Amino acid sequence: MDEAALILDAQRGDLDAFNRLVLAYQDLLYNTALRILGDEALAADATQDSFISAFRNITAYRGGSFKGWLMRTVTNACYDELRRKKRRPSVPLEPTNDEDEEMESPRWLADPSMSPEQKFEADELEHAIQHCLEALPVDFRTVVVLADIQGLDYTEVASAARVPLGTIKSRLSRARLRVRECLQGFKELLPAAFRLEEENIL
Amino acid sequence: MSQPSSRDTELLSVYLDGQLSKADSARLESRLKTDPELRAVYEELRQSQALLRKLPARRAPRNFTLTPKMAGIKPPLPRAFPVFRLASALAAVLFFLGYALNLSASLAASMSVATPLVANAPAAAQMVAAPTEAPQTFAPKVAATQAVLPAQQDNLAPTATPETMTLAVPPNEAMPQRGLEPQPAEPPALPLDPAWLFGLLGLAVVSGASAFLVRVRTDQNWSKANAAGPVRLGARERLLIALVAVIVLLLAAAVYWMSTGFQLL
Repeated sequence: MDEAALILDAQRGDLDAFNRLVLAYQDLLYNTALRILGDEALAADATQDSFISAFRNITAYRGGSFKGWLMRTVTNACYDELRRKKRRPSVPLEPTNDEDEEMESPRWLADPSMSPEQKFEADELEHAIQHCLEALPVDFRTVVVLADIQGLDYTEVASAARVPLGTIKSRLSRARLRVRECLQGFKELLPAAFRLEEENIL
Repeated sequence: MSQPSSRDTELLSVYLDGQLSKADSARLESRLKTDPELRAVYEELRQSQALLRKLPARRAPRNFTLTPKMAGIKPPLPRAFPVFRLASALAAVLFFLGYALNLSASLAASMSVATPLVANAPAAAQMVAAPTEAPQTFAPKVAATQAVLPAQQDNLAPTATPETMTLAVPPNEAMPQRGLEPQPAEPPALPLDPAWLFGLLGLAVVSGASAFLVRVRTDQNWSKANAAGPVRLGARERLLIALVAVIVLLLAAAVYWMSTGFQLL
């Protein structure tokens, strides 16, 4: 697939050429949306919206990483979906304590008071990781999904998330620590090599 | 041992991604050898990254290819469409100009009819008053006529003319017929024959309908060729068509009304 030629044709209004790009990138965009939104239906909607937006604005693409450019459209679509979701009653992404203040540590996820149903839902590693991702603030989650799950470099992440490079580095380090800390609540699901015992750390 | 600062955590994270400069990397590596706390945080970051990378990639549940409709691509306009549209618009403009011309002429005519009536009011008043005097002035004449021609009555009676019949009628009934009886109103002369207005209206409607049909036909062919689904008229389009039909009927009725001199039915 000659990506540059397809992009050029798409910029001239060739929908078939653009659809070949869609087929090449749809798994990537869908996965990104799925990890940011944590919901298959919303992720599908965001993916479709992002491709529509990409086609309508493809003349604005001026070279560089096309993957990064598409990631920006899907990130925007995810933010739109989250805004729509926020207008409807939903569970807050950040846990709060009794005084209605945001809890710094996401250890609440490993709370023994977690219902059996919740435990059952999170009894697979994938679910556990997704659970921990959703416990992150959306800006942190986006950065960690783009960098660690989709393998974008810092520049591409900064472009997709539209934040400075320094902010990306800061958010990524904090997000990684939070995810690791959260996953300690599901250590029985982690492969042996990933089980961090407190005594080993200290 | 102290908890690594957020700056150190960030450095470790960047180092993990291989984005730290050589000098900074060397400094950090020497610190990692001597600082178990820093090493533990590095290990946490590394494991977190490794776990996130272990997340299985899901396949898209369906293809997200775009249809022309989703992409906002509209079918090309048929060549005849602008011609029909222009013809319809021109005919509509000419129709309204012609209607306005006729309407202003009708209004001017009604004004000019109303003005003489007001100016001749005294004369009309005299004529209205005439019947009260008529029995005195006409009656003797009629009586005289009847007296002069008594012998001829037998001859005249079978061949009585309308004039003689009129004379036989009582004066107070005959007089109002002299110029005061309301005559049937003549439609005012219009500068533009209403037939032209009907023609222009018809042309506007036919051209507009042709433009619409040509467009719909082209859309259908294009949709079939691009697998964009059938073209259907929405509720808004149907309402618009009904509205246009009602307006055309009202305009036709208005022209007819004008042609009759705005006579009430």
